[in-house]
Order: sequence, then structure tokens, then C-alpha cells
Amino acid sequence: METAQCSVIYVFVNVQHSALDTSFILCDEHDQVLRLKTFSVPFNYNLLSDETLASVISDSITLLKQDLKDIEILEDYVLAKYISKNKSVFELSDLRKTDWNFIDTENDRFLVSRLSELAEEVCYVSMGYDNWNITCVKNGKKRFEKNVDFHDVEEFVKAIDIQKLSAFLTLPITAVELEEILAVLYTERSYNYGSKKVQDVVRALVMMFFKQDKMLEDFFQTTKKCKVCITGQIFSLISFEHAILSVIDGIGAGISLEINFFKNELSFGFLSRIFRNKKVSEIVEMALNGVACMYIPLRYERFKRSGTALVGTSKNIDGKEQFYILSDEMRLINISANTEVEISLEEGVFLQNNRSRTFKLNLENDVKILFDGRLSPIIYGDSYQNNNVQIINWINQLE
Amino acid sequence: MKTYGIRGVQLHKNYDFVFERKYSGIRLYINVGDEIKKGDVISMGMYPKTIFTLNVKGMPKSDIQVLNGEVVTVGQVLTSSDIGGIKVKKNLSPVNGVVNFDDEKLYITEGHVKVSESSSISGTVSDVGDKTYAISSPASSFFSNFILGNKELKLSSHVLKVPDSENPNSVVINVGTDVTDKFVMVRRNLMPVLYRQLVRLKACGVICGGIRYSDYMSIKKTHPMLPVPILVCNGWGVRSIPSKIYNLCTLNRGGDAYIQIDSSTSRIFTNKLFIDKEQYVESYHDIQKGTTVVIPGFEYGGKEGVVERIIGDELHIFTKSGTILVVDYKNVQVI
Repeated sequence: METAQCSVIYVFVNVQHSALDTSFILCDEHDQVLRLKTFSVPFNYNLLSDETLASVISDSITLLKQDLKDIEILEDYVLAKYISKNKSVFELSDLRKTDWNFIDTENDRFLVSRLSELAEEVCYVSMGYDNWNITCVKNGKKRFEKNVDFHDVEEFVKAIDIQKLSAFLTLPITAVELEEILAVLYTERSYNYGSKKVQDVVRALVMMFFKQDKMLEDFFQTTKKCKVCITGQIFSLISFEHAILSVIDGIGAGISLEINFFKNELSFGFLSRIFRNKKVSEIVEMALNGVACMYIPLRYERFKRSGTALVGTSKNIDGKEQFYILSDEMRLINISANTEVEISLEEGVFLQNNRSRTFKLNLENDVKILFDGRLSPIIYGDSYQNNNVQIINWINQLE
Repeated sequence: MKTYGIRGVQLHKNYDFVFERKYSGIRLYINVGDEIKKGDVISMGMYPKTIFTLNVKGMPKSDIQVLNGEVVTVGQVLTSSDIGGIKVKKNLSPVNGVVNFDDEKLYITEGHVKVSESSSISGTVSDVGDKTYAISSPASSFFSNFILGNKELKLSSHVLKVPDSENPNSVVINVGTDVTDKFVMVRRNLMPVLYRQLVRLKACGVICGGIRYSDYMSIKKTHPMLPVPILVCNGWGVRSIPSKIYNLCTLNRGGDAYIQIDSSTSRIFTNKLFIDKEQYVESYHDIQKGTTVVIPGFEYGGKEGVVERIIGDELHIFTKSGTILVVDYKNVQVI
């Protein structure tokens, strides 16, 4: 096996009150990216010190050396250190003296300003704590852009329509309690593993953010296939299943999507700053470095409301794998690289903009395919109890 | 003399590590009379890392390709099954770690992270009461979480004095109490009624553990400009003031302390670093048979169980759901 030699490691440490993410970009001597890797550990901010960070980085590099057999990390590698300049986490005077580069992780407009360089139909969604942004690009032109900045906690809480947010909740949370959760979320910016309420509020926030503008709805209605790039620390607070559900139901247009989460990967901002000479498409590809999720919604003729909706076969060197989707069911299928997938739709089932009964997908990379066979319309907001029953059911189907 | 340290940071003390039992949490490494230099490690310990889960509910045990307690590496097959010669499902390990599973889920425990706390000042350790150590020095500082109100006090210093009342938690300031130009400490959350009193009495500021967002909005209705700045130490909601700041205000009575406000943050300065012994005693535990522990990283705040056996570094934990998990001792927290 050929081994590539890594001579420069960019490390980006994103410090939160109770979590520490360390992202590594391994490059060769020509600054070509060899690999990206992110580690995430629960962390107590009060224990942040230069020694602790040195220990975490050193441990992570040891792990990298063990994991990446095809990359040789040279003994005299250069370590370029970047740390998040997060206004909720105070910089320690000790850290200031060392060779850290402080960078903003939020409010990073650098990449957004260059998104129109992309030729595809792309929806870029960033939800940080200080800034939310949706930018939609089609054929190299910006079709929709909404940017909301929050300068303080009051702006953040005021900007959120509490009544509208309540419609997407699954738990009985009063308006006063909601305001307090939002205030804590904005101020503390931390993970809260134990709190179901915070997860519920965040999921509802994501959905609400999509459902706010007629122009955004129009963009998705006139789009055939859209690539959705999701980033921002708000998404770190919810599980993959909750995040994907909130995005697809938030968009709610019933179109095929390619959803790319950058939740636990390097932030776009960091990559686009370090590699400012590269093309945006290259940065997106680089940041992906993980499994994308293809979303395929199924549609039904009137007579077809039950039974099997879809039969699929995936074939790779390990063998054949068969799967079924029943109507009114969602399923997330993991497909490994170099797999040929054959899909055949039952009578009465079709895809938007595609009337053929069978089709093939040739997948070069690992991918998750989410088939959504739920019967439309999908309604949120009758009552939190109804939302709760529906969402538990859907999340179970996704797991 | 033995020295212990992590990654190039040496512990300048001689401590006897007796590992008759397993330990969990963070331990304090100072004693009365120790001369501490700035940067010396004063506490050290282990924090558990993330635990990855995989849903195996309904999956036959024979489909799980790993054993309970097995060490797996990234990419190793965890589950795979054949039905009629067709490969149906295959799950690969996303991390290196130790595998455990019960009827519903498969868990991979990823290890631990070392943490340490260094002294921010140089000085001699002394006892201040039963529960506190103090390191004396010309300057040490603590941060409050955020400031509400008048942020124009930039970089100005104010003498901090606790109100004369013996009970700093009291929300009633007696008639005649002079709080003019003084910072007042509230041990828990700040109530609107007290704030209005402080405005009338022309207090310089108030330091509190927390404040409810609804109370804050209620204060803003009557005092939109917040004439008395509020230094919130622990965030929104009903929260107590951190013990370090509480000790500073109560134990340092008579000594000088200063508040420095810098845009959205504030520091409270004193010449002593107070260390709460109990905080470390609480966070540092020995583990033995029968100890109740929690394995963090699981849903709803972690999985709770009782230690059944200790074999080497492994703990066999009988969980509340009736299964036995094998976990490294560094991956549990004692409750």
C-alpha cells in the first residue's frame, strides 16, 4: 500500500462550555489535503488550559497515526493551531501567550459571499448562535438570501415567533419556559445531553427557520433536485435523525434533495479561510468528507394508499442486499461505496419529475438514502401530543 | 522522589498514588504549606469520552459479530446477517473502543480524556475554614458569565463589599443599610423586587448566581436602561453563585477586591485564589463493589448501574435495565 506523507497539520479547536471539538486537516508539503478528521469530547470549560489542550491534541494525533494507515505523519510535521474565538467562552490569559491563531467560527460570511460560484442548485443553511443564513443558488445566480444577525440575547429571543415555534413542539412547554430555554441556548451555547426539552425546541427552531418565507418556498417548488448544505452549531444540539427530519419537513416541498451535514466536521468558515485560493466546489467537497444523505420522496396515485411502495436491491462485492419500503413509512438505507442500486416502484407509486417504474443508481461513495413514503399532507401543529406521536414514529423508522 | 504529570507539564509535588481501588473524577493535589508557582497543576483527572450507540433492538444475537467487552477498531464489522443468502445489513464500527450490548443497543466506549487545572497565581497554600484552601498572591481573578445593563463601566474598578447583613442571600435590605456605591451579592437568582430596591438605594451593581429571563424582562419594563449593572455568574434561571466568588465575597471580607468590566465580560479580582475542597471531594471517588456509577453519553443523562465486579481496569456494571455492561473505570462517573 502506498503511503502519502503528511508534513503539515492544521488543527482547529472549537471550544464550547461543555464540549471540545478538535478538527484536523492533514496536508502534504504542497498543501494538498490528504485527510480530514474531527474528534469531539465532552469537556468542562473551567478546566481549559494550554496543558489540557496540548494533551487533547497530542492524544488525537496519536489516534490519527493509528487510524490512518495510508498516511505517514512525518516526525517534524508542522502544527498550525487555530482556536475558535467564541464570545461566550472567555479567552484565558495563558492561552493568549501561546501560538494560537484565534478565528471566528460564527458569522463567517466568506464562503457565503462566494456561493454563487457554484453551478448547481444549492441551498446553504447556516444556523449559528449569532447568525442564521439561508442562501439559495441556481445556475450561478443567487435566487434567495436571508440573513439574520443576533447581537444580544434579547434580539435572539424577540426574533423567534414563540407562537409559531409552539406549533412544531412535541412537549408541553409554556411560553415563559420557551423564552428561558432560548435565552440559555443563546448565552451558554452548550450541549445539554440530558434535556429533551432543549432538543425539542432546537428541532422546532430548525423547522420554523425554513418555513418563514414565500420566496424560499417558491425556490424549492421550482427546483428539481437540490443540494442542501447544512452547517452551524445549532445542529450540534440535535441527533442526526432529528436534524434530517426537521430539514426535510421544514423544506416540505416533496423534491429530491442531497443533504450534506457538516455537523461534526470542519466548519466551512475554517476551511474557506485556510484554503482561500481553492474553488468553492472544492471546499464543499473537502468539507463533506463524510456520508451525504440522499432524500427521495415517494408520491402516490389516489388508489395506492397501502402495501409495499418500493423494492430495492443493492449490489456490491460483498453481495446482494434487498430492502422494501411500505407506504406511509420512512427508511434510511446505508449504502457503501461502489454499490449498484436498483429501485423498482410498485403500481401507483412514482417520483416527482420521473415517471419510470425502475431506475438505477451507481454510487461511488458511501451514502445514506432516505426514502420517504409518508402519505401527504404531513401536518404539524394540531397539538403537541399529535406531533409527539408522529415524530416518535418517524424517528424510530430512521434509526 | 516520584513526579507525575501529563504531556510535559510536571507536577511539582510528591504524591503517593495508591491504586488499591479504581478512581473516577478529578483530584486536588495541594496541601497546606505547599509553595505553588503559577502554572503548577493543582488538580488532575479523567473525563469520559463519547459513547457511540447502535440500535440492535429485535436483531438476533447471532447477527452481532462482536463479543461483549471486545476491543474494536474503526471499520470492524459489528453486525451483519444473511437471510436466504442475501446480505441484509452490515454495520461497521465508527470508532476504536470497547463494545457492550444489551437487548436494545450496542455501545462502543471510546476512552477518556485527561484534564488538569493549573494555578493562575503563585503563592502559599493555607487553610481557610474546613472546606476551603486559599493561595495568596498579588492578583487572581474570576469571571462572571455575562453582564446585563450599563456596560459603559468599561475597565473601571470598584471596591466590592458584601452588604452588612449577615445573610447575603436575603432579598430584603434593611432600612438604613448603606449600599450606595457598593456591589451587592445575591447568592441565588436576582428577583425584580430586590433590583428595584437597589436602584432606589443607588447601589453600584449587583452580582447574582442567575436570573430568570422573565424576571429580567420584568425589570427591563420598569428600568429599561438598567441603571444598576447585573453581573450574572451562572446564567439564566434559578442558579447559585459559584463557590469561588461566594468565598471571595464572604471570606475576603475586610480585604480588597475589585471588579473590572470589559464590554460583555467582567472579572472579579482579589489577592487570593480560593479552592473549594468539597468540590473536588465530590468529584473524586473511589470505586468498589457496590458503588453506584453512571456511564455518561447515553440518552437522558447517562446509564446508571451498580459495580458488580472489578477485574483489572474493567468494571462489570449491573445497570438499572437489568443488563451487565463491561466498561473501563475511566469511563464512569460516581454518583
